Amino acid sequence: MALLQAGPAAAPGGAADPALARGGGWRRWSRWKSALFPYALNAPAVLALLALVAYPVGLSFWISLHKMNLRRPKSFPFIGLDNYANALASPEFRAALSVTLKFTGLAVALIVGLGLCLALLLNSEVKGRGILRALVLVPWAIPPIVNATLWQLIFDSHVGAFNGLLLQFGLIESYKAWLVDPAIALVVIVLAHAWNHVPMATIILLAALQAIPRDLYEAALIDRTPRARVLWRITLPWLWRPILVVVILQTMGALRAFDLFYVLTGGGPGNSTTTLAWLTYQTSFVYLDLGMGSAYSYVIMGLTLFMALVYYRGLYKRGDVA
Amino acid sequence: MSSSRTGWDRRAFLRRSGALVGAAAALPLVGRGAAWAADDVSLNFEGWNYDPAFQSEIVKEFVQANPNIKAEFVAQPAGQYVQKMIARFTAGNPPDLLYVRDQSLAGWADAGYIRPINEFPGWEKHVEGLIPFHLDGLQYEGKTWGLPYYGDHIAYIYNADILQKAGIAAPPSTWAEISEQALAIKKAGILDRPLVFPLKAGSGLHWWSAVYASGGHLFDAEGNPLFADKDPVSLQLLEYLVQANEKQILDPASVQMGTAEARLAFAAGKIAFSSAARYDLKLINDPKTSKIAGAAKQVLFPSLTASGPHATVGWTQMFSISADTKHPQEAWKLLQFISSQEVAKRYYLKNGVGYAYKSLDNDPDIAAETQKWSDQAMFAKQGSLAKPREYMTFPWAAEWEDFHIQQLQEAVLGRKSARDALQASASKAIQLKKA
Repeated sequence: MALLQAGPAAAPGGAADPALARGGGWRRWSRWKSALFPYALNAPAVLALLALVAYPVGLSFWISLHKMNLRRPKSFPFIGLDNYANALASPEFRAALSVTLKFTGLAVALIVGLGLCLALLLNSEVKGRGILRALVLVPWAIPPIVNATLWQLIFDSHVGAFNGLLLQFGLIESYKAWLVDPAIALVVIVLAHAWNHVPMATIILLAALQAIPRDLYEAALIDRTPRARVLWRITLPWLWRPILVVVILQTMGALRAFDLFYVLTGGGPGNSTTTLAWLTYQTSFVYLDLGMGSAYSYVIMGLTLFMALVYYRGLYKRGDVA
Repeated sequence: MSSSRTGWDRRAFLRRSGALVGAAAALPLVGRGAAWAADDVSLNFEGWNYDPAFQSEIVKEFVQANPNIKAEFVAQPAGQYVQKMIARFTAGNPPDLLYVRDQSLAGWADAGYIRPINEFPGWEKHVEGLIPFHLDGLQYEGKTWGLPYYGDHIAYIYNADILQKAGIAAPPSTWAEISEQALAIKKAGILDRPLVFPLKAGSGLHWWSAVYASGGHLFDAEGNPLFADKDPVSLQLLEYLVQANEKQILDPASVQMGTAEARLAFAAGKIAFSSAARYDLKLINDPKTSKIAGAAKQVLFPSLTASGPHATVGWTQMFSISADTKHPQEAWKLLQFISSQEVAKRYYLKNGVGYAYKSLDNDPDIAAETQKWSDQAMFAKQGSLAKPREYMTFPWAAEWEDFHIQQLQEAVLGRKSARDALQASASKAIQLKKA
């Protein structure tokens, strides 16, 4: 209102020419319309995001401040940050955090390492490169739950292919229950996870490799630079940013990994493969303790965010080669 | 092409399209209006997905007998059943009639999700012929909350062919005898690890059965844990399992095995001794689904000493009427139909799934069917010793049981002592109870 009154159509001394005022009002309305139009166009998307993302996120945070178990739904007392305090103080949470970090570290290192090696291989002039590039995508096309079931069958203690192979080569005398050994169980899950995710890392890094200017390599060739030095001085500096992207994506994926744990070990034996994601699922959907489960979810979110920031600060400038 | 040449402008197009869509949407309503009488009632009946075809068939028969009531059975995935139903209740959109697990009864009754059948006339006659322990399973806080879907118990089974090959004359009745026989089987080179004790998360029924079989208890009436010291059975049993693993007679894959995995391994001939859901004997002794058909036999659940009592865990799954149903009388009518003794008998003859009606113990058809794959006398005898888990009304029961199983796994795999594992479990129970 104040804006309209102070507008250019207002004559000095307060007297206003009606025609001018009408023309000025129309112009102002046009300007408002032009300014509001983009917001109006975006409004449906914003509303959808608010309804589908902001509201559930806000609601789950509100629930995390309450004691809420759906087995006793009538009780919903506000307990502040007690769920967070209980989570951080509980030995189950600390054990799950430790397993999660171990799993994430191993999985990301393996995926980035293998992805880089495969990308370098597929970028070189090898025979059958086209077929290899197509084949490398196959594990990525397999849904995680199917991937988990395949690995479960491979490592089954009574009918598993892995046992069969070792037995045929005379490396074991009888079938073994591999997944009951806590250390082996975690390694198997890391392998299964990496098998499913290496293709994505490979594709991202391969695309980045192909964007490196050829003349840099030609100059290195003319200078007879050793291959290792070429890799270290030319290739890797150009790959820091894509590697950063892969590391962030894979870290987020590993922190939230669930299917493999669900199918292969169910968090066991004991709690040796219980990750934060599994603990959150158990708490929320098996014990129906939505208050504590929501608190766990926020801890995972905070952890993911923190790790992404660490990577970003640590690696971003190294990749800033332009 | 201009709109004036076609006679269709954008508005006209939208108007006509809208009219067409509206007419198409209204068509089913027209048909339905003609088919339904004014006083027709529609019931929604939901349960988990064990043989949904059978349940649908029964509902179809009910609808034929009661043409003014429309009803449909909808099966939900068993693993997510409790969560799905709670979501439905919380959203205010529950089915009219539904399956209720024994573990859910207290919570759902307290939450006001389901209604007791005591409010319906003539309810008493439907519970008169029930086996007492199954009747107990339907009751909470002095009220009866539904009628039985099925009831069964955890059985102890052995592979008679393997025992015969190893020269063993009689099946075991104590854990010590199981050790002796398992060692004999191992020495004979028949199986490397003949014993399985299902210890996967979610398979706590087997542990409870073993404790009951040796006369033990896990909790007192107030929910205070009696292990590791007040009641020594748990500790003795767990120490037995640890030793069985050390002697290499217990399959360490037990920690990954629940009821289903143990059944599959038993049916594949990889196990000589295990506990199992009693009705699984039908599958284990069926040549279509088993390599050892005919060899699986039931024996009373072994105990630590010869004196028994060889009890086991039994359970009752039930049908209940939702508290919010708009058609309680019709739902009650359907409930009586689907939970009748006749339906229970048909269910048993088809799937071998247990019943809650005492009179069926003497039914010749049931006896003849059971003899095909099991022993009716043993079924009745072990059934008479069955009792429900002691903790069913504690809201923290599921969380504690998973933690308890984790501790048992850690002990069996030698990662902590049996006493430490049970003490950790007892502390967890006390902590959950306080929370």
